[in-house]
Amino acid sequence: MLKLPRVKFCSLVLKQCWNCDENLSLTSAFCNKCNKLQPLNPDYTHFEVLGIERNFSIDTVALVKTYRNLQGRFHPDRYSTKSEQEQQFAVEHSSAINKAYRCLLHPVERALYLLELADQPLHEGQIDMEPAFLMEIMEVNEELAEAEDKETVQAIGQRNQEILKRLLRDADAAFSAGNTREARSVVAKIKYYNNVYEKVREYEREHGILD
Amino acid sequence: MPLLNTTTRNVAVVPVKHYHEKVIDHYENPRNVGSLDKNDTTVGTGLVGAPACGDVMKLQVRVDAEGKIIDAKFKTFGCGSAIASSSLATEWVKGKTMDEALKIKNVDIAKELKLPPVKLHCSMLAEDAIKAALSDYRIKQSSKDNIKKND
Repeated sequence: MLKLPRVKFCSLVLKQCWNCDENLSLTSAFCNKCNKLQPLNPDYTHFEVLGIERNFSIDTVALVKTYRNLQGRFHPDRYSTKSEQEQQFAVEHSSAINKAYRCLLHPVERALYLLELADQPLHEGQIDMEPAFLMEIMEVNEELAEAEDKETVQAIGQRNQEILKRLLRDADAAFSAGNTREARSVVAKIKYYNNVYEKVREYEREHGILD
Repeated sequence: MPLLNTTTRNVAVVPVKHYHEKVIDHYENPRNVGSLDKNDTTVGTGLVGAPACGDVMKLQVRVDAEGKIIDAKFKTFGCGSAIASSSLATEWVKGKTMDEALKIKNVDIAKELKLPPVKLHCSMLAEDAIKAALSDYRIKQSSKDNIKKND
């Protein structure tokens, strides 16, 4: 007998509970009927995993709260007495929540991720940086490499923070306007200044300035 | 605690293994680090960047009247592979004519340093830096000629 594949008209209609076959709601990770934990939707973006709006500008205080709340509900420890399937799903949910949180908490990671979602990742294709910009980056790196005392390093760090703040605002404006091209070029600049930031942090750690 | 010791040792070894010994050699003993006077008309300066990793590379050449590269310097702020690629590039361009230097391809650099695929863009950056330095030198020379003509 010829077996025809089941035609999927729409994936939302056909998603059913693995345990009781009940049609699943779109928004809940649990079955409405038997209350069993469902597998993680593999198509979910980090934003969807955490249930927040896809935006560059996010409330990080709220993000921390959301993260803790979600881990409270999905942590595998909570499922240790449940079925093997549910334990497995809890591991999937929990690790996706961790990954999403780590990515979205940091503005640079978040910006890189948004470019990826927009199909214009930073690491693919050419971005022409202006010579004047590259010169500026070269100079600040040289200044940092030659700095002999912590005051100089901290002054560089301070100046760098101001530049980063301004660029992050520019990135926010570009992402909000849906201008991915512009966002990509701002993020490229951010990446450079973020490297300077990391170096300042490293210096501070090495010299016991950072707590 | 022998077991614990083994674990830490393994962890410590992993990051080093990413780099081939040739990369480490150039990273630890970079050749030709420094700067040439960028306003000197016999000096060409190439400044290139890899936005995806935030690396910046400056490569400078000094060219004599016969069109031969007699000196080269670099300064790179980036990963070990980027530093090694530019260090090797300065070694290779020295003593070459400009046309010979333009034939240096990133694959040659990558092959010499045994760069893994994820680090190929570092050798590409070094190739771009050579090209940019020579193009800067040519632009300087032609504008110098123009000034002479106008005099």
